[in-house]
Order: sequence, then C-alpha cells, then structure tokens
Amino acid sequence: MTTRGTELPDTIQAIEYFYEQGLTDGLPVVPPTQEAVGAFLEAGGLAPDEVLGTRESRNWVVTAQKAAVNAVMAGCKAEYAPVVAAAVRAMMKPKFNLSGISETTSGMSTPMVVVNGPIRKKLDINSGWNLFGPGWRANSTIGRSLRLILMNVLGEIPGVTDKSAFGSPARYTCCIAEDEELSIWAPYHVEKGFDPSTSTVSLFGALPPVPVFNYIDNSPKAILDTISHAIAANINCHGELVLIISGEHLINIEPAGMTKAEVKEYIAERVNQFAPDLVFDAERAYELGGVTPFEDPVSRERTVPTEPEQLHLYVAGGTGGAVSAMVPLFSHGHSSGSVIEPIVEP
Amino acid sequence: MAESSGVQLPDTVEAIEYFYEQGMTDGLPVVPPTQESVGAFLESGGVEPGEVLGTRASRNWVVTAQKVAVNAVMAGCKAEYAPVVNAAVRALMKPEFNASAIAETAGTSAPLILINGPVRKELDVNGGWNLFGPGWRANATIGRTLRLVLMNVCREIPGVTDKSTFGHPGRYTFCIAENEEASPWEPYHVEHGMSLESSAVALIPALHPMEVFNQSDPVPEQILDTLSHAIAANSVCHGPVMLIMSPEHAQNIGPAGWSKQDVKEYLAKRANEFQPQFAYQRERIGALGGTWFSATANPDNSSIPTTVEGITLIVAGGEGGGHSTIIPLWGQGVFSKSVLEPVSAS
Repeated sequence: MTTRGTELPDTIQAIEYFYEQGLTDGLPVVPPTQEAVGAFLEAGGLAPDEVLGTRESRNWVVTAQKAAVNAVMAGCKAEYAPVVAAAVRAMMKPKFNLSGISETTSGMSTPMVVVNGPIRKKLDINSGWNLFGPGWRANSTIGRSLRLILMNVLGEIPGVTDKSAFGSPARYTCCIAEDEELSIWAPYHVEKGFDPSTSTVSLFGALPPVPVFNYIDNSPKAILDTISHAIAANINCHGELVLIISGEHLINIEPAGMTKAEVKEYIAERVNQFAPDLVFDAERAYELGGVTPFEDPVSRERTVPTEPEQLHLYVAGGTGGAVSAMVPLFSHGHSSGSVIEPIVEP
Repeated sequence: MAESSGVQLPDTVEAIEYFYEQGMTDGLPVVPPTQESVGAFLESGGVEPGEVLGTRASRNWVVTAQKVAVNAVMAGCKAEYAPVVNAAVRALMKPEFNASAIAETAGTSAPLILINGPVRKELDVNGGWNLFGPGWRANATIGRTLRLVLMNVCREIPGVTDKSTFGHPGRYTFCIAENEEASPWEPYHVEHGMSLESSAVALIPALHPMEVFNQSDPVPEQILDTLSHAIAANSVCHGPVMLIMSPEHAQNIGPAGWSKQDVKEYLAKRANEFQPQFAYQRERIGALGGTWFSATANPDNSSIPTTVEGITLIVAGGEGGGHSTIIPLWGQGVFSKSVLEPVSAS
C-alpha cells in the first residue's frame, strides 16, 4: 500500500507507522491508499487540489486531497465525502473561529457536526439512542475526520499548540443528526431557509452535552420550566445554546400546541427570570469580563441574556428517558458563530 | 496474513472492514488482532488466556483474559498496557461497580478510568493538557478497550441493549491520569491506603464533565465558593461528585495551608448552603427520589446533600487556566461505587 509515496509492508505495520509519525489522535487509523483516497474524492465530486478552506493568518490551506486522506484515516466510507467536505467548509469559515475553539484554555470546546436532510438516512447517521456515543460508523468517523484535519493539516497538536486545560472526549469525535421524523416542528435547516429535500451540516463550537431531567411532571410548561431553570443555573449555558429535546419530553410538550418559535420565546423569557437569583459563580467568572466583551465591566452585570434567536433547537436522542440535552457553546457563542452549510452531492 | 478468531483475512485494509461488517467496532477502525499480538498482550499482562478477570452470573458474562486481550489489541493498545487494562477490567466487573446499569441507563454515564502511580510515566498516560481529549495512545486505547469489552464480550450494544437517551462522547474512551506532580496533596491511591510507589486504576461511575471557571480570585475560599456553587447549581451533581481541580486552582489552595480533607469539608458545607437557591430544579429531580434516591435522600426526598465522603478530589489537567472540572457520579453512591484496583507489575 502506498501513503505519501511510502511503501508499507502490511496493514498492521502501516497502522503503527501512523502512530510513529504522530498522525493519529491516539486511536488506530485506516492506512490511506491511493485507491481509497481517490474513491473518496470521486464520491465527493472533488478535485484533489480544490481548496475547501483557508486562513491566511495561520497559513492554513485545506485541500480536498488532504481532507480525503484524513477522512480515510478516520475510517470514513467514500460515500461520506459530501458530508465531510461540507463540514470542513463550515469549519473553515472565519465566523466559526476554529483556532479560538481549538486553542482556548477553556478548552472543552470542539466542532460539533449536526446533519439534517435526506442524507441522514442514506448514510445511516444516528439521531436516536446513544446519540453522542459509539455504535454508528458515519457519526464516529465523520466527526473524527475534523479532529484529524485539525491535528494533521492545521497543526493543532494536543498539548503543544492545542493548550486546553481539560479537553473533552468529544474532541475525538462529535457528530449527530436531527430526528426529523420524530419532530413535531420543521427541521433545523428548514427553519434556516433550506428546502426539506436539501441536506446540510451545521457546525457549533460545542462543550460536552449536559442532560436535564424531568421525570415527574408531564405538563408542557413544567418540562420547559425545568429546562429553563437548568439553563439559568449553568452559566456555561447562557447566551447561545444548542438544546436537544428528546422524544419523551417532546411527546409531553406537544399537547401545548406551541410552535418552535413559541417554545424558544418561552424558554428565553423563563431563563432570564430565573438567572438573576442563581448567578454567583457568574460574578466570579465574569470578573474576567475585561476580556469577554459581552460583559459590562463597570456594572459587572452578571448574566448573559438568552434571546430566543440564540437557542438552536433540535429533536434527537433515544425515544425513552425523560431527559433533554443542553450543549453549551464556546464563549456563549460570542467568539464563535454557528455555521450552516449545504451538502453538495455530485 | 492477519488472523482473528481463526478467520484468515487478506493482508490489506479489508481486514479492518471485516470488523465493521461483523458489527464489532464502536464505529471507529480497529487493529485486526493476530495470534501474535494477542499472545504478546497476554504475556505482558502475566495472565493465562483462560484466566477469568470477571463474571456476572445474572448476565452470563464471563470475561477471560483472552477476550480482553483481543479487544485491547483491536482498540489499539500496545502490549505494555496489559497490566493497566486487566486491572481496569477487574474493576469494571466488580459487583459494586454495577457495569450493566451504567451501560444501559438513560443517562450520560460511562466508566472513567483514573490511573495513579509510576505506571503513568512508564506508559505515557496523559494527566495534563487536553486531559479528556485526543493525543495520547495510552489514554485513547486503554479507555476504548472497556467499551469494546462491554460491546463485544458483554453484549452492551448501542441502541439495542445499551439504551442511553443521549449517550456521551466519553463512551468512546474515558481514561485519565492524575497530575500527581502538580498536586499539593497526596494522590488518590495514596489517600485510599496504597503506597506512593504502587500503581492503581480507579474506576469511577462518571457522568458528563462540566467546566467551572474562576479566573479572577487567588483566594482559596473564593475559588472553592465558585466550585461549591457550581456543584449546588447542577442538581445532577448533588450527592457524590468528582472534582478535578486544575493545577492552577490547586496551587492557590494547597500551599495556603489547606489539606485535601479541609478542601472537601469546605466544599460540602458550602454546596449544601447554596443548594436551597436551586430548589426549583432540585424539587423536580428530587421527587424522583421517591423511587430512586430513597436511600440517600431526605424523608421528603427533595434534597440530596453533598457529603465529605461523597467528594472524589484529584488534581489533573493542563498547568494553566483558572478552571476546574466537576463530574457528577452515577447512582448516588448507592447503585454504583468507585472501585480501586492495584496494577500488578508485568
């Protein structure tokens, strides 16, 4: 097999070769052959030297060839190429501020991929049970491709240039899909103006997901109040937030007949009612306010207001368990904006 | 030729695909296990192939050293990791750890491996920057081995028998070392009666990590107030909780004359003082206590106190960044308990 012109004797030795070269995240990679990389490029309708993204200040140039090599190493099938290419394009958008997410010492942040549209079913991207966990090749390897590109193409090396105090297990891989079939609302990409027949990736600078439980009160307002209270109590969740409603919570919210916009408005209103009584650590953290521009350093106004449009609302997860998930975003969304990118299938 | 379970596989990346087709991966590529690599792993661990590392009669679980070795090689382990892997598996199979519940519950639980002692340096197990993230083969593959054992030996199949609503990225791999060198206090295993020269694996029934910031106060009480407040604010953190203090926080506290016990006592006292502030959410989850938490909850099942004994305190993470990490523990210390297992010299 050939990799970068290197002849390697067999698969297992080839896997060790990539470890020795420091080209893995710590887990084994698939040795990328010319054939596999070629098939990936072809499935994505990509020319090898096509540029998927750049960042001049870092000398970052991500070509389709480099993305393909790392995607094959991550374990991707060729057919995942359109999703990977869209995710890389989204990751490289200036608005996303990839280097900020990758290098911050408040470093539980990582690019989270959320897939919408028909391609979810075509590629078997999990939107249900064990949403953030293992078991689905598409989720595992599409998410991992971004980390390998960060390390091997962009030089974000853990412990060297990537100086995260704690990191997050989501930095291995973080890719989910919306359960559009279960949802009572328009899917995320349709809400953002895309046609239901289009597939998209959305990228968020995500911290690890935090569950919020309400097993005891099935009324719609009680569930939404519990979620709002949990958001207010966790300052990492203030500002921009991804909120993922599970099937069990959804089925109990449905009788209220609320639109998605109404749900967001209700939650934002309640969060802002709850927050002033709950913030204490906010005060301490935000003395840091000098470097967080959304903070008023004079008044030391302590809460970051949650506005309805800052809530990114999805339906996903297993269909049992009275739990929803909050995904706090890096810098409350201030220093990294979410990006939605259409998936182009050749 | 790569051999596994007696199957002759062509010496190409097709061997990796074979394991995908058999449903024997977590979604990421595995190293095809050969008789040679499995044999080397067993030898390094000083165990016989048929040696039983753990059982659970009610589930027909019999975990032999051979099965563990096969899955460890698949995960990407080096042979020298065997003593640590075997200790972690022994801990996983202890009845008090209750692995099946942790694997199957709706929550975000995953076994967290904590490594102490000289073996950390011998195997280059990361206890610093990017603690939970990628970049270190030992962390990545030792942690992953437990998941592959749970899937392939214990048949905890995501979405089938493993019915977690949201899962967690820590379910791919979740393995850290204590940063003993940066700690002002005795390491975890020494606190629990082992010698500084011995190595140990602690298995902790962990939920999701959450970062807590205090980048402005060098005063011990102020840092600890922020951490206590965050524990009180997240109702899932009530009861047993793990605090991973960053070196920066710890070095502001230990040298000021605080022992580990002093820190725990202060945290428990303050967390309980702050708790009523968060009664709304606590009442909701606490009422769940009627069926789940009765062994630890108050008579009205509305409050679960933080206790000194319930706090697991270690120092780890990168040596910069004024934040620490809190990890709620699953099962309220009743349904699952942390297990400490010595690592035997190979």
